Amino acid sequence: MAPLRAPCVSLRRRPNFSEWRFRAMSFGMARGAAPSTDATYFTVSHRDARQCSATGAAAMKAALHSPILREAAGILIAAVCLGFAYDAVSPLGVRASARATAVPAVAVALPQTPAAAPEAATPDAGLQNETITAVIYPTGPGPAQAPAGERLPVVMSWAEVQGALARGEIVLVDGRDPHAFEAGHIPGAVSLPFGMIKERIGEFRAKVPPTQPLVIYCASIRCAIAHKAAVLLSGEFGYADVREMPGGYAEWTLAQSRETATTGGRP
Amino acid sequence: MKTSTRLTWKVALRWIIGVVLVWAALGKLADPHEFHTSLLAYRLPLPGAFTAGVAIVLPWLELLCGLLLLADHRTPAALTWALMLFGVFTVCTGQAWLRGLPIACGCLDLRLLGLRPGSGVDAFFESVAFACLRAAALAGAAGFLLVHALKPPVAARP
Repeated sequence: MAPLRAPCVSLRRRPNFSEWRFRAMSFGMARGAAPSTDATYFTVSHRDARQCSATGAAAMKAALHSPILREAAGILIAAVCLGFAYDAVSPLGVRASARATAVPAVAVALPQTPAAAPEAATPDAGLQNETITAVIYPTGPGPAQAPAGERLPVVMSWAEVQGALARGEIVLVDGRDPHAFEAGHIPGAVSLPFGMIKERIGEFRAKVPPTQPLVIYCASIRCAIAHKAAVLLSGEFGYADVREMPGGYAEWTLAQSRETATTGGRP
Repeated sequence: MKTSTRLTWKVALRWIIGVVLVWAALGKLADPHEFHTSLLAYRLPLPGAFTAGVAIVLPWLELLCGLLLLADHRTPAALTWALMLFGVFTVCTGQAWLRGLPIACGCLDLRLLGLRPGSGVDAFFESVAFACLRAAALAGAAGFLLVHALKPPVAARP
């Protein structure tokens, strides 16, 4: 009679070695022949589906007790413990960032030039803005100008941005993905995702004139988006004064955590 | 399982995988929130809590596996995780590549190589396509080493 061949999993234990090894292979066995009874080599025939099912169950049971899977589970448990402990103490952790973002934001319209005001009156779902500052420019027919005075550097730290933002001298632009913006952003920032900049620039220009000084940030100093967006906005889209905040959202998060530690969590 | 400490191509491959895992982990541990937002940018249909949990645990999993591979300790278990991690990375970056998602991989901190963000070389190494191919190659290497690690010696075969 032709031997039956079916794929299955065999378990074998090497002599004098406390390690199970798995091999996927085909077994040939004549119908009616007795399966192997070798204690160190656990093979199972496949005479019918029921027997194969029992084989699978046995293999699964043995696999759950194999040292490799136990070690892999141990590595995972260690990673979970270390990860949550690190996240609890790290100011840049996922949970810490979520706490820092839970600052109530006041939604106020962006500064407008007279020409852009009618378009800005209609709510725009695509552009998210939460600017809490207001810029007052001298009235006149010409384009609005940023206050004259000291020239701010091209690269700015959060300490510098904070002051300029409070004085209403800049518009803070978040260049990250919309999902990242929703997960957390600097209060007062406007979302202009770098990946969608060509699609959104029309809406953005309607609200933020090219004469408006911009400061762009992304996730952290590792992120290249702020630099790329600054180059694009100043070169291709004609914004006269575009700066970047290389520290990005991470720098702001660290500043918030330092501030919280200093004030003891009081507002 | 201990293998020979002699520098063979298998040892070199194991070290490469270990170094890549440690490198990737350190970059993520420097800013877990950034890694979390990078995961969100992949727009995977996963619950937010799960994504946050992955962002918290995965860097440490990478670090532990990388260190174990470099130390040649618990190698089969570490290779099993490496194979799964690189497999998942390949799928995630592959779907982002196919969907044309405008994302940076965020896998490796290229500043360690002296590359300035925004440079052309940086753009190539940070591209999703390169990340997908790199993850696929590393998954293949990890799978190959795992098969070799699990294969019984010739003398012990039936």
